Amino acid sequence: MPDDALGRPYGVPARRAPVLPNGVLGMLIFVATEIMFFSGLISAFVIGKSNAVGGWPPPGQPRLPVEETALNTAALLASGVALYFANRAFKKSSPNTKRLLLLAIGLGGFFVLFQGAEWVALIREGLTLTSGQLGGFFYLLVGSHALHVVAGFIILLYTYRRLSEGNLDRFTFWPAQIFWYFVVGVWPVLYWQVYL
Amino acid sequence: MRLTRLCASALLLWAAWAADLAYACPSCASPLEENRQAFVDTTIFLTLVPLMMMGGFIWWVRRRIRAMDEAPEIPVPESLLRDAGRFSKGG
Repeated sequence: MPDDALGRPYGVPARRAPVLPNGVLGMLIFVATEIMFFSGLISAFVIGKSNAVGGWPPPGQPRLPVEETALNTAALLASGVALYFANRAFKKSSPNTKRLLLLAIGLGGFFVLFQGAEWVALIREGLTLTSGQLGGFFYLLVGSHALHVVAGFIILLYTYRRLSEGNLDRFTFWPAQIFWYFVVGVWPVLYWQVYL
Repeated sequence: MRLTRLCASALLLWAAWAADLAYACPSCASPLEENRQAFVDTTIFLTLVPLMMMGGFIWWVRRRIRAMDEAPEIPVPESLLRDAGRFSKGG
């Protein structure tokens, strides 16, 4: 078979591998919009906080559970770490992948449940969406994040199902990880701004 | 053509100037120093975040392309080189 000037055989198109998979690019663009969404919310909260008459948190409002949420924050961060190690195990086709992914999902589920319990307690104490600026901002910021955690939790469950069926590929696993790392990464910022 | 460009530039400059006078945000004219500072801080933050994201992405893609260029070329598998039949170019 004759070769071209570069020594490549004719008839075989010289295709370049994509810089990054489509799924990863799509998820990165989505996460970028999400970062802007949360940045806008945090900015509004910071301005609202600085504008509050009588200091922050406003007097007469229930206190937010700082210590309990610190534990919950640790659980979510640990979930991110477990997912990181699950990816490392996945690259080596190690049987530990399943266990580590399940641990990440379990810790994410714990975070959601714990936060749900926290919300029930706060509502009982009188902190609602309409009780004041603190309640409004709290449920908007933390609620938006909670929705993302639930979405990420469902995505991780889907990847676990694919892994159990033996047809999980890195093009599915990477975007799921990007989303979960975003969910994990944005939480400490929210905790620092809202709770501390 | 030159006049149109000049008018468009003047209009753009005027729009930029007018936005400064509008005080659309209640925080801009707030008497509270802390509130004005928070407004300035968040404006800087919201300006820098997208720039940093785009800059970071471009930097990462450039690095990845360079790494791919430097990587040794993968040889074409034999299965692709064999005669594809009637319509094969090689035949």
